[in-house]
Amino acid sequence: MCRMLRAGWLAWLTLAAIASVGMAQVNSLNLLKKATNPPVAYQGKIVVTTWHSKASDAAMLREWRLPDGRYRVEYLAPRNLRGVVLLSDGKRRWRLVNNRPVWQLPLDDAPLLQVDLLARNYRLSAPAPATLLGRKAWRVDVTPKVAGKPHHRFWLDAEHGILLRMETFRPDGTPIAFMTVTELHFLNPSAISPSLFTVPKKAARRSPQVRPLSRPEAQKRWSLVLPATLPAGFAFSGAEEVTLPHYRRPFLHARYADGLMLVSLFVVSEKGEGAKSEEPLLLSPTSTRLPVVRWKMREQVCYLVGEVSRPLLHRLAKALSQAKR
Amino acid sequence: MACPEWSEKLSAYLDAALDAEQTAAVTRHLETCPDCRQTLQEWQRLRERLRALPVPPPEAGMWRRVMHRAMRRVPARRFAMPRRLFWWMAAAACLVGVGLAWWWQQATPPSSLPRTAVNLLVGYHADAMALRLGDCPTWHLVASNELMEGE
Repeated sequence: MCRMLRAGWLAWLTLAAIASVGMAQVNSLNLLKKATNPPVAYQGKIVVTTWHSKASDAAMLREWRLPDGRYRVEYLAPRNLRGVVLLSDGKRRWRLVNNRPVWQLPLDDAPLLQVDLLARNYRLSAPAPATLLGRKAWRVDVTPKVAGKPHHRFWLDAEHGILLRMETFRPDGTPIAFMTVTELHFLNPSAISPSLFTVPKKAARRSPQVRPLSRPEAQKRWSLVLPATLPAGFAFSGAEEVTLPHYRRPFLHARYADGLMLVSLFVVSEKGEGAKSEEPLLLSPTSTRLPVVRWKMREQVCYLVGEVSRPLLHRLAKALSQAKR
Repeated sequence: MACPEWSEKLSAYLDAALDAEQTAAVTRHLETCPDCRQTLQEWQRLRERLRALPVPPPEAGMWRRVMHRAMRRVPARRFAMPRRLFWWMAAAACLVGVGLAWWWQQATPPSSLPRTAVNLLVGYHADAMALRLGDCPTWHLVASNELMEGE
């Protein structure tokens, strides 16, 4: 009897040791990196709900993804968003409405997730095992080191790194968004029609102009100062000048990232913008879904947008408006 | 534009005029063909809009007036247009109509462009944020809804 008990304990200890070694080998950063471009072709159905000061929204989507970076997302519901399609040919991502382009964004050659910045600005929990859609998954909690940024919780498919579920919370614990994959089918890439990922000809003809700019180029063309870094761990990560076909005035978009979140500085000409104050002011929380700070700078108007707390966004706007060469 | 070989069936599919086998075939085709799916959605939207148009009730005494006019003798035509001229004018009117439709289609912005610049910029930011996480739906949904503002 005693021998049997001892053997049972030994077996249990061995199993526990194997499990802990397996856990240690799974790295949260690697899992998150893999999630941005899973190495497998699949079709999925997704349900998303978001809560913002202006409104709460929900949607059901269907997406097809290939390992080479091509993908297509279609909105199935609500009714007013049917006809919205997001299309990537691996180099650029298009937003189409009823086959007509709204804009296209370049997909950077640089890795989507800046791992060093992420590790510097966030604490990543050890991956915790979970089961979603009958598949083995890992749960990773990403907590910001600086107050005022959202907290993220990711569930990632253990085999392919597909993001199966995501929850985002404000610093006060209220939810921002929940996203869940409700159906997942793996596909043979050769069996998927290439037309799914082809930009309609008329959309390709009426292409919005996006001109990538380096930091010095953007500063020179738009007569402003773009600091290399901002408070709370944000660093300059790129800029582009955008001219949309039906929105004649070009605007500058400068991105600041902290490894996970992004704040965007937009600069537009003053004409018709109505900004009078050179002091950064928060816009009414009911005017947009995300917090926005606006200020005037000579003949231009600046907008800073980002899903961080309003005090933090205001702090970032102050740093930008007071930046000196 | 729907695939030519499916176009007729799509129309019947919309009217629920196909048998079970044909319906299943069209459904399978729609699963893999974005163009046909797009066309079907456009037709559905058009039909919904037409159905939503109000039907005005007939005015009092309308039938009496219609019958009265129908019973009157039609006066003899004083001016008869040469047949060839008529066809030339009809062709010119058709050309102008097609030209105007093309111009209108090119000049109007996509229905999703918002009226205010700030909604457009927030939408652009949300799309850029979505791309950082492999086009995360949480963020591109924000963009989609901001672009609908002012609709």
